[in-house]
Amino acid sequence: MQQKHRSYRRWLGAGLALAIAAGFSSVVTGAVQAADDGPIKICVIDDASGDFAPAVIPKTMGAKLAVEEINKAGGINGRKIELIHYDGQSDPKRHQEFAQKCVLDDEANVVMAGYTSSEREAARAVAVENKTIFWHNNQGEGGIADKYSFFTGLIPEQQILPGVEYMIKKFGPRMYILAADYGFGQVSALWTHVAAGIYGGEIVGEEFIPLGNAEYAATIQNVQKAKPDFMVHFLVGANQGQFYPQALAAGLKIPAVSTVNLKQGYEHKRFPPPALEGLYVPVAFIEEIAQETEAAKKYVADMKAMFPDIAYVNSPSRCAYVAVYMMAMAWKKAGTTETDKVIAALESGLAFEAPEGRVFLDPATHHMTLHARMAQVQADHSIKFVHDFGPIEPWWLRKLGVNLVSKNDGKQYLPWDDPEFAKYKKQ
Amino acid sequence: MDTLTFIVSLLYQYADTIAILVLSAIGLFIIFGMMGVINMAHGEMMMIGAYITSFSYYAGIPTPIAVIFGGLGAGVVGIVLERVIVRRFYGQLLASLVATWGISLILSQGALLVLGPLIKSVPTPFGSAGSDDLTFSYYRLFLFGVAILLIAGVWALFKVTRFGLRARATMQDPGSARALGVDVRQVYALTFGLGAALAGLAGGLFALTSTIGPFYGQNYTPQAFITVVVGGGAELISGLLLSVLSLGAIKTIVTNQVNILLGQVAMLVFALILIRLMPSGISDWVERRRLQSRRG
Repeated sequence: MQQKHRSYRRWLGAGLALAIAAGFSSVVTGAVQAADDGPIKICVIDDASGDFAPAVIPKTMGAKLAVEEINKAGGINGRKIELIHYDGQSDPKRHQEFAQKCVLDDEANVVMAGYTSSEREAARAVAVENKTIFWHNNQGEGGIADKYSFFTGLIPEQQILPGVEYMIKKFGPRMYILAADYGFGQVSALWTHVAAGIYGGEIVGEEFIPLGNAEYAATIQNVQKAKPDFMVHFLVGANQGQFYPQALAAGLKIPAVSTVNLKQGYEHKRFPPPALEGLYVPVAFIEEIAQETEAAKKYVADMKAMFPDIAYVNSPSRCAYVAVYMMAMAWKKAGTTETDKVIAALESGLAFEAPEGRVFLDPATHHMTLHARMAQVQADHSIKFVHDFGPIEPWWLRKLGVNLVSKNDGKQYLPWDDPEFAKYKKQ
Repeated sequence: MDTLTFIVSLLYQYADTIAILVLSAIGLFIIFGMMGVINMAHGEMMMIGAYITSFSYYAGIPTPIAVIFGGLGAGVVGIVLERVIVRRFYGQLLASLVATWGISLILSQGALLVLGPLIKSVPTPFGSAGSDDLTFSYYRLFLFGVAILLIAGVWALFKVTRFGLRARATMQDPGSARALGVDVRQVYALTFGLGAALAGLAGGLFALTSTIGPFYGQNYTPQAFITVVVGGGAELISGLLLSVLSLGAIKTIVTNQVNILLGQVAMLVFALILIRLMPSGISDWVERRRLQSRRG
């Protein structure tokens, strides 16, 4: 009996160890080398588990597709690109730890990490401190002016300002903000105040919702009581997405604009229609952009060919794809992987034919000029593009006088750092 | 907005909160209250219920039956787990906690590896009703009804049926129960299975109104644990009721008057104070008061 118990415990211990290994392990693809003629290393920290996994798994696939295409075409000046992926587990602390591993152990040439702003900042701090090039491949709250940091997604002046302006013109001035209660949501809400100020809107309610919150009975009724013309959503993660089916079940029929939902978490594919009917989303890329451009059609087809199980070719997938290509162009142009020279190449005015259209990396701000369109969700959850904003430059940091080519600010600006916008600050 | 609308809205939110608390906690409550085992894999039982519900629904099975399949499936998994693993840890609180936590990790990460990060949600039935001011989801009200029925059902099961009698005897004194001819092993397995089945049923019911993924149950487990800890294990039904009514009231009022974050904080603070004052939960405190007054 004693013996049996002991062997059982050993078995259980092994089982636990396995489970923990499954939970906390990382997947390292390829062998690790550290020579100059070895592969160039891209270290990707993406959530393959946890609340953000549904939105982030396609992002890793986008990076993989770009690496595969570039390597097939001969690599970078004869060198191959190696992709190292760590599972950030939807946890900023893991992002920080893996960023250290990327920079110190793997000696990666570039780190691409973070879905949420808190994950991004945890990893970015490590990369910047170690003078390693960092890319955030998602839409964001903008304002970061840093020599080592680059961005592929839409920022407030490319989505919140035009998106809110569109909604005010179409539905009226009264808006209700539902925002995730952390960095990105808070700053995006500030930008919504700016947009309301500029375009004559009025904010009739504002709610900050804890990440992971899944119950919306009170929120839905608060919105109904405030009677807004439209809602502004910054709902982040699979749990916050549950707002949509609950709002449908409760009969909440108020149009909304979101800069997060649909394009990242593809709620229109996950929830039975018509839960998202009447949602407006300013996008650079979503899978349905394939209705608009040939390049997007090809990109979506290539993604599905390489990853037949992909749930949806979402916006972060395209961001990661573009970032890898931008790095490849910079490495080719610089003829080396030395960080300073590669940054100089990135700041040389690089343009790329992205799936949704031509994108341009702005040397002064390290953000991109992106072609934005307004997506509208139909009753059957198909997408109609109801407005073309055209290419929008990342103009706001330049307005503040940021020019990273000549000066490294090394900080994140908030809307109130703009004297003109400060007057829209709520009392 | 007039006072009547406000009161109706608050009551609706209270009923909604209570339903979520009861459904997410009842399976955990039975396993803890009857067996003294803290089932860390509770959330995964809910996840299994939700997955089976979704798969059944998209296989063409009507929604109510799909949900019941979810409950039955989780119950079967629960019985197997009890027979294979959990029964080896009775009487060892910490060991059972670690073992069930291990099961939880294996099941959730296993679901992620095998089935991917998400599966399709099931449409919410019944629609909504209300005035121009406010609308209410019938399904959320239906959940409240189910919560009440489940409490009544569990009460009847343990107080009226032969199984309930045997179960209570086993929990009180397994040795004597065995001597009197009760199949103790079977009682343990069935009780654990019942707890798992109720968790699976709750998982299936919530699947009709939320996103389903491998870590789905973990949204509900924190509040389920708080409900159980506040309720205590002395008396199953009264513990659950008192715990849910008080926690739900605090959460609803603060969420309604301030915001969601403070609603959650207020519920936790209230639970902390309550546990400080009544370390073994409300039900134990009430039970002792009752005995005291009877003696006095």
